[in-house]
Amino acid sequence: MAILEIIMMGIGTGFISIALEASKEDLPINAMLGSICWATYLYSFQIFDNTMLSIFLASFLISFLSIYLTRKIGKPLQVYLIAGIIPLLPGLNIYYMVFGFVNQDSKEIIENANLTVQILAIIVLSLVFASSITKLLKRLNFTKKRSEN
Amino acid sequence: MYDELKVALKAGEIMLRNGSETFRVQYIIKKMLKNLEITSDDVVVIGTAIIVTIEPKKGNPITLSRSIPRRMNNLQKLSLVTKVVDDYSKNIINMSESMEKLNTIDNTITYPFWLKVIGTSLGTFSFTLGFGGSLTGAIAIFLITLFPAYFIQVFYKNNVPYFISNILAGALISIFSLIAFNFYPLLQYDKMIASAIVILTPGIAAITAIRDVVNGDFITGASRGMEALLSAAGLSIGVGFIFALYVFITGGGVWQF
Repeated sequence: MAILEIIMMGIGTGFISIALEASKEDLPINAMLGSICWATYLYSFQIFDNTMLSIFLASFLISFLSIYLTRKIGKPLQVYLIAGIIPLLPGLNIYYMVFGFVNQDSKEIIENANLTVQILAIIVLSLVFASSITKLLKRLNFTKKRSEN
Repeated sequence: MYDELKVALKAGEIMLRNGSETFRVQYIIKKMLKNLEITSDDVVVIGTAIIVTIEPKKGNPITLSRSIPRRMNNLQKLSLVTKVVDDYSKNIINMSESMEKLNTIDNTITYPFWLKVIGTSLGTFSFTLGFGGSLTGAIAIFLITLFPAYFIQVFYKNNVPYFISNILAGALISIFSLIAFNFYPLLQYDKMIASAIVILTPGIAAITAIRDVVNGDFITGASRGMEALLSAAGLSIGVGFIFALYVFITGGGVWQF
């Protein structure tokens, strides 16, 4: 069942990429990133049983892959990153927040608003981590090559 | 020098209008100006405007600005502009060719109107199954999101403010969801709504806002954050109003999970 969910998430990301007007050759890559993102989230949630950690790991991997693809293909990072993290966007939390407004349930509003902000912050944090590590690796590689010469 | 600056501004304008972060727009403009004989360049980019001043080695300083009133996401245009800027900075293409290519990119329609509507609806269909929803739920959400997805595109085409279009789209999703719920109460609505709301949530705007803040552009980050907040508020008002109206009319709960 999990495999079907992962495949469907990938296909969904591919279709949403059409709405985001990604170019035709990027659609399969975006779909693949969507699947990898959801698979990482699902399996790390099974191992650690922690939503935030799972979101961090999934978006960290997607950030890394997006940086790699950007360097390899020469397109802006946003092209792959935005599509790849779509499955992690906190749509359900926003829905529950709205539900809280309707039921006048302050606890539900605060809880879900808090979760929404946390998820968005974690996604950005993982990107900052991934780009910092990539820059560090690049610098180390450059220093190593210079010392060899 | 003036023409070169105009080309650089055109590239920046397309990038900013199609969802790029401000630091990338700044980078693109500086990259296009690097081959010019200038003593300094000053590129100021905020969410809604670009101001560039260059000081040529001979002659007076030149300042040009562009205002960007409306923004959207078009990933293809970001890629194409990056390619043109790379070619221009490596002297593969000249200034007039770059301007011609940028004008073509600006007027390109990536996908036809109907395909974007169908793509959005098929995306929510797949996401419903991805979130563990049933096939019946996925088919229902496909039909439910067809109308809001169509209206989002129509609203954008007719320059309807995004706040109003989000209220209307949120209301449409709720109306069609309630109709489907009354026909078939066993549908898994949490998974369906989560998928439907993905197309409206300002998650991408919020992430771009935080990335701008992380890169030191607090003004743009704050304004984009406000834009995301207003989009979410519009969505909440649209969905919330219809749900509240339904509860008021029927006297019962909306639905329980």
